[in-house]
Amino acid sequence: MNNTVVEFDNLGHAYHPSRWIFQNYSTQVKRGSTFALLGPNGCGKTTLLKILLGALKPTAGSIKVEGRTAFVPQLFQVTFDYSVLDMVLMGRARQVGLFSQPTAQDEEAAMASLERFGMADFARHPFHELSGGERQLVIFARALVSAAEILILDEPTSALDLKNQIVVLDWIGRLSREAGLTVLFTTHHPNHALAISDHALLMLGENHYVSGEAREVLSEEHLRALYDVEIKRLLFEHQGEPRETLVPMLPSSNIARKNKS
Amino acid sequence: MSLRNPFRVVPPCEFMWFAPFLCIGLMVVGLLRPLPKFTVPEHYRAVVDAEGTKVPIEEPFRGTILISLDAGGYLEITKSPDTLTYAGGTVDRSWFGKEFMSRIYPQVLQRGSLWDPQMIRHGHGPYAELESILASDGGAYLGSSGDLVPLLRRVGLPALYTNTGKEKDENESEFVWASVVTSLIGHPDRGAAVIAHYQQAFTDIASDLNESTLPNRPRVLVMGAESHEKQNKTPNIRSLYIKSTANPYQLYILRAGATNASEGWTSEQPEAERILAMDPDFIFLMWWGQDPQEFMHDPRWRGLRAVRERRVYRLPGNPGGGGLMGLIFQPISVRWMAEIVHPDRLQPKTRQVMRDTYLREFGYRMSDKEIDEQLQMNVNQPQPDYGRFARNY
Amino acid sequence: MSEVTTAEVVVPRTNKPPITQKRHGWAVPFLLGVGVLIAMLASLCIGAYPMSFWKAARIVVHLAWPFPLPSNPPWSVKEITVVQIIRLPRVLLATLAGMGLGMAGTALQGMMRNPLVGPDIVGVTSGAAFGGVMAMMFNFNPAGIIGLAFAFGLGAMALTFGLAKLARSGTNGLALILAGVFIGAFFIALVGLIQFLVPDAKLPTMVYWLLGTFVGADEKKVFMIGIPTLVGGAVLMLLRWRINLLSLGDLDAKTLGVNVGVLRWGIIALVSLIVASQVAVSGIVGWVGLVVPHCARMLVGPDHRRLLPTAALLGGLFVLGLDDLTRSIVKAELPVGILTALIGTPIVCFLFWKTQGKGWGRE
Repeated sequence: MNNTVVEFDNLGHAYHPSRWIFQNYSTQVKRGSTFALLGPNGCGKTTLLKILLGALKPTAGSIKVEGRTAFVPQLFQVTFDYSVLDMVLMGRARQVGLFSQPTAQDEEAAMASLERFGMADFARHPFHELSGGERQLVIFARALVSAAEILILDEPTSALDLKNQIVVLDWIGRLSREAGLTVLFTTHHPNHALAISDHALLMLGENHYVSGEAREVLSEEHLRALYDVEIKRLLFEHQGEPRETLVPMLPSSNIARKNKS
Repeated sequence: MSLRNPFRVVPPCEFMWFAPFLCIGLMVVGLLRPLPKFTVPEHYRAVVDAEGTKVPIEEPFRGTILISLDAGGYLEITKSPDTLTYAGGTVDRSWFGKEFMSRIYPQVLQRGSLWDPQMIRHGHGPYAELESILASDGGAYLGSSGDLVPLLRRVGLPALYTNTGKEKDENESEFVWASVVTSLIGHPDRGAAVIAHYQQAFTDIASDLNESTLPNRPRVLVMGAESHEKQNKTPNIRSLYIKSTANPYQLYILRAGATNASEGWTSEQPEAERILAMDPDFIFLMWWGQDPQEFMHDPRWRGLRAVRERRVYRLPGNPGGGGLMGLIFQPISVRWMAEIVHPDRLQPKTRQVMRDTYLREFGYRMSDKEIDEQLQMNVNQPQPDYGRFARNY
Repeated sequence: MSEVTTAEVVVPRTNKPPITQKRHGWAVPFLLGVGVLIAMLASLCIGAYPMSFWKAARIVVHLAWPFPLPSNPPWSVKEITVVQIIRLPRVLLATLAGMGLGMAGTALQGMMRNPLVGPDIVGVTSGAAFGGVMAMMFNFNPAGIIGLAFAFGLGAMALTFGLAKLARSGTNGLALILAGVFIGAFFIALVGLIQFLVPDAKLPTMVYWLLGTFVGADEKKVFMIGIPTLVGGAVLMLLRWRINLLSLGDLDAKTLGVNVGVLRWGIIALVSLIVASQVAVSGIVGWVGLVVPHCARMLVGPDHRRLLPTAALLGGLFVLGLDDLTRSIVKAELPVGILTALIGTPIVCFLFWKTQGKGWGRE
């Protein structure tokens, strides 16, 4: 069984003939790993995701995706107010025939998936009445129900409050460790990437990227080059375990200011 | 396709849409069933209609149901109001009330069973009428064209055509109509008599006129015009409407010893200019629109020769109703026109002819006032040569 | 699927919001189904010829049941003539038109993720009207009329789509409606041109037809609308869950495994077929495809598994009811298209006003 689920080779894309978003990207994603994609706005993260999902054909290079993908978008704007169960049920699209309707079996699978995420009580609620974090979980449930092997997330934490961010990050970690799913996500928070991902790709510019183990890639130098901001990587202990975090530095510190006045 | 356990009960939602679809589909297919047929009656006589089809009419005859046909016309030819079973809707009834026939046969106007209060008028969609027709109980259905006659025949009801639509001229279609209708009621002799009188009347006119020696044939135009104010108030009203070559007045005009000034013009609703270009000798106005006085004072028509010579007359006929048309009355109209157009050739006989015709055909004595009305005396009298139509002449 | 150990996940909220979505279960579509059949039978009693409900019911049941008619029937020849030739075709025509428009409207709204579209807004009706009118001018046979109506209806919708894609927002929102208005107006102008060119004898029938009417229904017309509506509708019904998927958005649907392009064009073709058959047979009957899905959604919610049948049946009831109205109360045979506009527009305004508070597109 091949261990590589996603592989791109000299991948590049240009929306206009001579304006490349990125060029010559090559990397591999291993089965069951968590992979983070980082980069400033406009560097092509969404484009890369679309290529991964097969919604966009790359202008140059090739990409190989082995296994079914499931997508968790950043925003969910649903025109009609489906119930939560209906939303999860839609994940069974691959299992239900073209001219068939979902069976009781499909509904059971959907409920089971909702229970797994603790959202079973909300099954009959309209989807749009849920908070951001709850919606995220419902979409996770939908992704799982579709028997996907690769989960692709677009900025999963950017619209969430702190509590929900933790919940979702925890789930991402668990999905890959316990369910064996491969998870790819884009994020603006290098902290999150450091906390849960195994590998990371930093999109530094048109031709320039860094890819590899998360702990190596997410160094102070690389991040300074990426975001043009001073970042410090700190080591500390929490409940007997060593932890690491990344802290961006403001031009002048709050403490210094307070001391002055 | 997903593998389904064939023994699992299919949830009711699947049949929810299927059941009504199926029922409706069955109903749609059910329409293809052969139509029910009315049986041929035991006692019947065969009547031949305009197309030559032999239609079995039950004996004793239960009455005529008119489909999109005029009650007045029927009564004219048959002179038997008792054979009428169904004549039309509420508007048909009011139109009949304006015709002269309703004075001769007032019982037809008054008898409620002849007119369907729920139907407005004939011809407003064949199937609306079909229900009224089926609801009434008659012996035969008379129609001139359209889908109803074949439809009625498909279910075996006795339906007759009064015309084929392919007759070569007005005369022939009138003759066919007369013979079909009168044979239906069992009196074909009446139809033959009407036709004979018609032909005799025209022979009389022709001999009186001595057509071969006519020095000239004046140019005559039959038209109708609306005043400007009325045009502006109701923009859709017909403003000008001449009767051009493809019209029934052709025969009419010729036999009066005149020619049709609108010969060669095909449009029915032209501009006023065209009328000025035709410049006829005589103008005969139709029963709607401006009367002769208004017409002659209308600035549009000032240039016409006929207006200068004041030779503008309203066609005879019931004011508000139709004109004197049809086998029985046409000769009267033609004689009237001939007398106006060739006053020196013809003796003033129109009044007498009218009185005699009504007496002979319907046993109806016309009063002087009624004849004046028919001859549009109040609007035509001021014009030259109209005195010959007055009662004391 | 691999097992994940159930752990305690903290529910982010302490209080559960109340369930605001009404679910009437399957009762509503079932009642509607029965209601439509009863309404059809009741409509058969309307008309100048007196007929009772039970007699009409018996005649219809015997007509529809695929067995020979009894030789000594409890009805007279006149009665079965009235039902079979005059009334049943008209009732079937009205019901089928309503069902077709209801389904078409629902499918369009779901597929385009926009609850303010309908076949007349998107341009299909105008295109089909133009095709039908042109076919009538050249005296095509019935299959030809539907074929030409279908071709132009489909073409009009394709043009609307193409035009809407030029706008950034694509198939969402104003761009689509505007494109539909433009394309629809263009085809209506073409229809006007045909009316001008047609010889005078055909003109009144054509004008009356364009206003939307079921007068003159016969079995030919019923078949012309029946087969596309029932067959096309059946296919739409089988695809109704997939419309849920399409309504999520192109990207979402694609990643769930749906072949978005093929499915979308398939649904467009089916909708065009159904609408073209309705327009070819009875002229422009507008607003039904817009109003009925809204009302159906208020009754049973947005899930198309229940919504599509409900909209079909509700549409059938609606148009049948209006046709009954025009047959009985207004004896002058007011064209149905006028009635649907007179009644449909206020309903749309009311719905628009009602949903303003809750935001665009929420019922």
